[in-house]
Amino acid sequence: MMGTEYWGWAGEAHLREHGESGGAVSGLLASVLSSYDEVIVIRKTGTVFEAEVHTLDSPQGIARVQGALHAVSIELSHYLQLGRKTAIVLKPCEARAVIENIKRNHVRREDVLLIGLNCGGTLPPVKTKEYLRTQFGVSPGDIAKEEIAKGNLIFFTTDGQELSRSIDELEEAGYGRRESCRYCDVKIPSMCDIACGNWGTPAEKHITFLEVFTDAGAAALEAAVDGGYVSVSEPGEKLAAVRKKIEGIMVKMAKGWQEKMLGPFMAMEPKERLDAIHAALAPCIGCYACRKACPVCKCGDDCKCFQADPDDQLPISMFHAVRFLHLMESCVGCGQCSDACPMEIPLAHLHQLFAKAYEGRTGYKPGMSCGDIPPLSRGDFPEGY
Amino acid sequence: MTFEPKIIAFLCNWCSYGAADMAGTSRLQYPPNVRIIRFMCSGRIDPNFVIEAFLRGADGVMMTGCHIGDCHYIDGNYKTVHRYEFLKDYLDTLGIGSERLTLAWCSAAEGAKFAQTVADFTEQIRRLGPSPFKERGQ
Repeated sequence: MMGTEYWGWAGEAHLREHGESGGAVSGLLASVLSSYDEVIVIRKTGTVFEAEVHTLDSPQGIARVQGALHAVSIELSHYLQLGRKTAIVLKPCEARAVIENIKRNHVRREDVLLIGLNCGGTLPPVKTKEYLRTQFGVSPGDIAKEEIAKGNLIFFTTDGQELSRSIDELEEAGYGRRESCRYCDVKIPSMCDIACGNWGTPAEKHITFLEVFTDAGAAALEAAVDGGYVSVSEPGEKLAAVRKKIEGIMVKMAKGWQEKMLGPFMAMEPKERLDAIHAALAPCIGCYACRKACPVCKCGDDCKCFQADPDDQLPISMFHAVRFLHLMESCVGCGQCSDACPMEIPLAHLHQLFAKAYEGRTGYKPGMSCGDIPPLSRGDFPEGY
Repeated sequence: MTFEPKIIAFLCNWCSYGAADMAGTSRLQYPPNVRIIRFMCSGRIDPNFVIEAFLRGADGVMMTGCHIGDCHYIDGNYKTVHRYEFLKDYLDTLGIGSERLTLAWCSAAEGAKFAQTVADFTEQIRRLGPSPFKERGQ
C-alpha cells in the first residue's frame, strides 16, 4: 500500500449506512477480529449520555457499537489485559494512557492494535444535560445524536430538530467541554497504529480520514481492504491540508486555555501556590476514587501512595504528595480523577500543573512514544555532573 | 526563639558516610542542625523519602553520595541525579522551592568538604527561613 493517509469507508452496505462517517472503523474492527482475540469498544445503552464497555469477539453486533460518544468519557485503557491480543478504539488521552502502561510493562505493545480517534474534546454529561434542559428546553432523553463540527456543538433530537451553539459561547458560560479537554493539546493520536476521524473529509460524503502510523496499522488496514471490509482511496490534497489546519486551530485553542487555567497558578509566589494547593485538597475525604479511576496508576495495592498512615496529620497527605510525584511523569490529562472525585476537587488541574511544569522544562510529554523512558526510571549517564 | 534549621541528610554508606566519619575523626566542626540517615547507596534515596522529610517538618534535605564514576555499585548515583533533577521541579511546582534540596558528592577522603557543605547548606536554609509547611502548625 502506498502513502500513509487515506479516505476510507466500510465495504458492507449496512455498516456504511449505520456507522459514523461511513463506518470505516466498524469495517476495520470486523476485519481485525480474525487476527485479534477481542475488540474493546463502547456500546450505547440508551441516550447519548450512557454507554457500557463492550468486548466483541465476533463481528456480530458490530453495527451497534460506538467508537466514542462525546458525553461518555469512559477510560477504555483500564480494560486491556496482559497477554490478550486486543484491538481497542481510543481517544488520544486513552491511547496515551495505554502507552504509559506499555512503558511500565502492564501491556505489551505487540499485543494491542490501537485504533485512535481524532478528538476535539468530550462533554461532562451532567452539565450538558442541565444545559439542554435550561437553555434549549429539551429533555436529554430526546437527543438522538450529538456532534461537534466547525466549532459548534450540535444536538439532533429524535423528532428531527437540530440545536446548535458555538462551543466558545458555551465555555464562556461555564458549559461546553470538560475542563481537561479544553487544555488538552493532543488532538490526533499519533501514538496509535491508525488514527481515524472526519476532519479533512468532504462534509456531504460519509467518509473517514485514516492516517497509518505503524507497520501493524498498515497490515491491519491492508487486510481489511483485501477482505473487502474497508474501501480506501487517496485523500483529496486540499482536504488533507484542511485536516492539518483544524488540528492547528484546536491545539492553539488548547494552548490558550492552558495559559488561562494553569497560568495564574504558575504566576503565584511559591508560598501562595502551596496555600492554594493545600486549600484545594482540604475537602479530600480519602476515598481514593481518583486513584481507582486513574488510567496510568497501576502499582496496585503496594503503591507508595498507600504506605503512609492515614491518621498522620501532615500538611498535605502523603497520598496526594506521592500521586503528584508519580503523575508528574505520567499524567495524560484525561480528567478521570476530577470526574471521580465526590468532593469535586479539581485534581486533573493540579496534576496537570505538575506535569506541564516538567514538560515545559524538559519537553518530556507522557504517553507519546513507547521509546521514551519515564524520568524517574532513568539510569543513563547524567551529563554535566 | 531564633530559627534553627532542621536538616535531613541522606548519606551513602561508602563515600559520604565515610566523609562524615572522616570529618569526625579529623575533629572538624560543623553545625549540629543536620540529622543523618545512612543508605547503602544514594541510588536508594526514593523521592518519597525526600517528600516525607519535608511533610514531617524538615526545613532542608541533603542528598549526598559518591562522585560520578566512583559509585560502589557502578551507576547507582546516575539514578540519584535524575531523581534530584526531577525533585527540584516537583518542589518548585509545589511551592516549597528547589533551593531547600541539595545534592553533593563527597568521597570518603573529603571530610572537610562534607563539613563545609553542611555549614553552607545550613546557612542557606537559615536565610530562607522555616519551611512553608511548618507554619501550618502541624
